[in-house]
Amino acid sequence: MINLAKFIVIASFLAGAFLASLDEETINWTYFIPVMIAGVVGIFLLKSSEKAAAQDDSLLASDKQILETSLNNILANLRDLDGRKDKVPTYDMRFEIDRMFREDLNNFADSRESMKHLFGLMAYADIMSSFAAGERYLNRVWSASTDGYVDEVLAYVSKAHSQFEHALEEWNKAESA
Amino acid sequence: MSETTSDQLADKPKSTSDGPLSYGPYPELSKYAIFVGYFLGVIIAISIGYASLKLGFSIEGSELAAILGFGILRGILRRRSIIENNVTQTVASAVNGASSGLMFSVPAIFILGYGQELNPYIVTFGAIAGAFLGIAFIIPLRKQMIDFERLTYPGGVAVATILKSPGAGIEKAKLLVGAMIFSGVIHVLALANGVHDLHVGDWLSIPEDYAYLNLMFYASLMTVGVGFIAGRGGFAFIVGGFVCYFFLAPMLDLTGMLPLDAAGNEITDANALRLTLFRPTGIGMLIGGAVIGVVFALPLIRSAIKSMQNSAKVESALSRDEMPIKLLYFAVAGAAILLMIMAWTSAEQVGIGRGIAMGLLGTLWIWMSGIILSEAIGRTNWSPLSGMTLVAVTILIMLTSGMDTTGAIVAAVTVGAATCVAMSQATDLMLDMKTGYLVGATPRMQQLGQFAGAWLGPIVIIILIYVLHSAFGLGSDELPAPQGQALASMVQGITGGDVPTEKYTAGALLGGLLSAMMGGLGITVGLGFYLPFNIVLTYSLGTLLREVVDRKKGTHWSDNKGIPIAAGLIVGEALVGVGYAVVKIATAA
Repeated sequence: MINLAKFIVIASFLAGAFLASLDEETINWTYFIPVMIAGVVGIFLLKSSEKAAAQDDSLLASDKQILETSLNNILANLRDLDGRKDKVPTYDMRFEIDRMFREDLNNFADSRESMKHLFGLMAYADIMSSFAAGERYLNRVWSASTDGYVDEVLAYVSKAHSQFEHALEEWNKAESA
Repeated sequence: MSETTSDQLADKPKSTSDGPLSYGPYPELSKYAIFVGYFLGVIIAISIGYASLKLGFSIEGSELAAILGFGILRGILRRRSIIENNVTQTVASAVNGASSGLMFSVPAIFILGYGQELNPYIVTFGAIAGAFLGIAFIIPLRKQMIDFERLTYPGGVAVATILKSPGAGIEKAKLLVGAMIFSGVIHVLALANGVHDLHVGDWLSIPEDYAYLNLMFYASLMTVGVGFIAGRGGFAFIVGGFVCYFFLAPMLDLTGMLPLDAAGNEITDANALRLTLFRPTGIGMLIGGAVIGVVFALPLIRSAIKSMQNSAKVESALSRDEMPIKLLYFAVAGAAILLMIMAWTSAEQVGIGRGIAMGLLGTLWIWMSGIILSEAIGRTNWSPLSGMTLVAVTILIMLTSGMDTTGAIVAAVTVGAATCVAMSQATDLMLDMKTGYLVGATPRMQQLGQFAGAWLGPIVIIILIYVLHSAFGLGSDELPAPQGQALASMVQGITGGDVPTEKYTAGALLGGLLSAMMGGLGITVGLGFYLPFNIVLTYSLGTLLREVVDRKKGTHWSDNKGIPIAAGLIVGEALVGVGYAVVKIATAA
């Protein structure tokens, strides 16, 4: 059904674009409007099919698994790094960031859309706000490590840690709601 | 952060084999960042502003500001802070933001011969107010487009790659510099030999009857780099171009519906077809795509605002990083009031009622176009600023019906200039914010940096416009101001009732349909209708390369080698472009 709906929308777009290109100033609305109505029907079919597909239990369950695993990995690695941050040479911290976090950060970000269906928009916004801030703090650790700013590196490892703890709190809150 | 006393400092190591160590705060919004930003911003704004009046093209200043700021802060002042460097380029590009905003709009008034009627203080003040409003409007959009939607912003990624180069390892730095040099040399050779496009259609001996296929590649490695960084995000943009020249034009040809020229011959030239048939539809698609996009994104924008309000209530670390959301509410009210006052005072006949209508529509347009431009530049790195200005001026002129032509044009362009600067600042800040995200900058510091720079640009540019006009005359052979001429001719068309309203409306419906199908699709496909196909073709090479490289070598290779190379291609050509403008102007002088 999704493919049929997409076909209807694309076909009506192409037909509409063709009709819109027939003259430099005017449009033949007698033909154009029905074509657009067909497109709107296609959109209606597409949205209802997509909604059903996005709420497909197996997809949501698989994405939820990825989201949970990557968030837990990030937090476990941050707890570890926060605990031994004094022992990591300042200039080496950026390599630790790349090694320990990049893959999980990307995995979480790639599966984020499913959170909208799992928890609703508001919870999605709250979790993503915390996640994005945490990722930005890790990026700051990377920059400060490059420039040799000792206190900043130490402070922002902790800030990133508490930000991801907050993301997990938001996640748990959304899950239990 | 704990404070480090001088005694404690004495016990701490000052350096390691990897480099010096520093304690205490990491410099970000420092006086060095601001003043170096002012210095660079004024130079870049004057150079690029003058170049756009002389040559008719405008250049994105962020990459240049990042490179020059890098040289001054790290090379001369011996400072070591990526995020301070980031604020410098933010301030500099904020100053320069006025250049693209004003150089397109204000010269049109002089070219039309209404320069005496223009009040420079109102235009300057309005442009400053517009700049501040554009920045404030970005507060919730930043969260939605960067934090939630994670749009690519290829230009922002390129600048971040430059700023991060000291820590990215010698190999990445080599790739960046190597690609910069390669791209710069190729662009020098292209400019020296007058090569603007590669006429592949001619090489393949494609008959003139099929000229609309337009197999002509824009000779620009920068465009390949942009396509590479955007990756699949820019795919819809390519689709838009191919729909026009590989589907619609052949269909028109097959059905014998190609437009005819004065002599009755079919028009097959791709650019002529673009200007008459596809571009107006494209402008409509940008608007319709944005309107439907906003309708669909509204719940997410509302959630973004609510999330910011919740963070502010508990005074979390997150809320301290952001400008207060209340600023947005003040900005909306302030925008409406200021634009009303501007419209009211710009020409005698405007009156309060019309002033209110112009102010409200101007405010709405800043918001709407801010979304269009941020989406477009976020997904493709191309900003349809001129098209959005044209629509703003068209709407504003329509509101002045019944007034005499002089008053109508002066009022519409005065308010239009303020909205244009607002749009330009909003787009520039979104790019800088993406860079900031990637280097770990604090959004509030960047926004303050943007505010710090935004007031200066309009003053510099308005002075420049008046000085140059009194010296050479805008629109003269000496200073043709091609963008201003284009707007002037469009304004003449609008006041003469020549507006392709039906095509805009049809385009809006088409763009709306696509955006309802997928967020942002109407805008990116519309951009493919709007821009010349030679750019789309070259851009598609970058997208194709990214796809092949991702599949053959893996995304890790793309992230670690491909993106530094692509960023180098962008920066090398941009630097040569500015250098070329300077040389050309100096030679002409």
